[in-house]
Amino acid sequence: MTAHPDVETLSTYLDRQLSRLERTRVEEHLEGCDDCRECLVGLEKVVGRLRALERQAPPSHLGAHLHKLASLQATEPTLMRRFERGVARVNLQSSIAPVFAVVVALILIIYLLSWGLHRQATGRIPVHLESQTTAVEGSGVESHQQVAGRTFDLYEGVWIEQGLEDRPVVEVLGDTDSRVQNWLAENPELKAIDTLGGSVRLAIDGRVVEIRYAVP
Amino acid sequence: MEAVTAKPRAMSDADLDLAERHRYGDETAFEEIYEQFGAMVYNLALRLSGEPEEAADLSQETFLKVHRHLGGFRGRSSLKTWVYRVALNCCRSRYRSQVAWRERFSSQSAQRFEILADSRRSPEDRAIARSTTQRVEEALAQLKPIFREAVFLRDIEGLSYEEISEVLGQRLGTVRSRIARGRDKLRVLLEVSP
Repeated sequence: MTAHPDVETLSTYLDRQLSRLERTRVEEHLEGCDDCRECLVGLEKVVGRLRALERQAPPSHLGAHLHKLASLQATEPTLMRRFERGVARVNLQSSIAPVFAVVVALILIIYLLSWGLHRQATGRIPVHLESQTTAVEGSGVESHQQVAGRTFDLYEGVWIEQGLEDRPVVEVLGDTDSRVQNWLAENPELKAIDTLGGSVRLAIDGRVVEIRYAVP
Repeated sequence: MEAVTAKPRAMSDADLDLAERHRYGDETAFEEIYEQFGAMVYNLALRLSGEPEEAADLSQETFLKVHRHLGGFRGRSSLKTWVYRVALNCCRSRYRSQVAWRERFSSQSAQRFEILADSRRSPEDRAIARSTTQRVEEALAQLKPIFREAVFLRDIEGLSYEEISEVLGQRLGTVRSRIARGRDKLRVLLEVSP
């Protein structure tokens, strides 16, 4: 005879929740074991008595009372409803609303301005060359280009700002010179002169300076 | 043994419909839910609390919670097991102390259950039936709540093992064990012999 199945196995057997193999094992055991059969019949009777217990009906007034309470609960102001009501109370025609709108608009404008200045200061806004003309025959000028409203003429590999052709160069600086870098940082709109190529002669603080860009 | 864990049940179309209607403010949805599960919840509360007044109060608390939270019901289980779970949690939170629960239940409740009148039974039969019922109720009252819940859900309410697993939030193996131990204890208490 196989080992006695435990109470859990017998209870599960009663509910037909065992696998076919386990069920067969239990049934084979039950055929030769009075104790286990007795236990199973006892469990079966317990289940029978429990199932015979009558279901009680809830009090008749409970349903109606609940519906009333549920309706009241539905009208209770929850946090979300309070927020919605608060938003609904803001009347755009009231005196506060226009002031509020102006303040928001000002904040937005200040933010956009500061953002734009920041972008310019960091040089991330590209300064494009405004125009380019063809060379003028007989003048010696090979090309014209404009950077930030200043016109530069190309003479023999040097871009000279218009009007400075006859003025003497006070100083020649390399493009990596700290003074050039500082000046360009202060005048970011002229940063595009480095795209002209070669040397650029221009007025910085009233002085004619020639910046020589290293050949890449 | 068969499967060890209960598979999550898909929400039925009817459950989905009820939850959706409630979400969109259809008051009849809640009425239908009460009609469907009112007796079920009341009997659970009655078996676990032992007192009709207490059961009515727990039923009310349960359905108010159902009303409040049904909008968030996402159908990870069936509506039936979800409502059962809400009811069970209401009962448990009211009676945190198992000792107080058992004392309260065993001393007062068993006499309060009455068998619905059955005109086909003779007065003697009814007296015998009442006596048997009372003994079963008293024996049930002596079980630990975890076994009483499992036995009640299985043998009185007729839930499947999988549904009980969802309601109790326990693995199938635990559910089997609790049902078996509860039944075995009742067998001893009722001195059931073949």
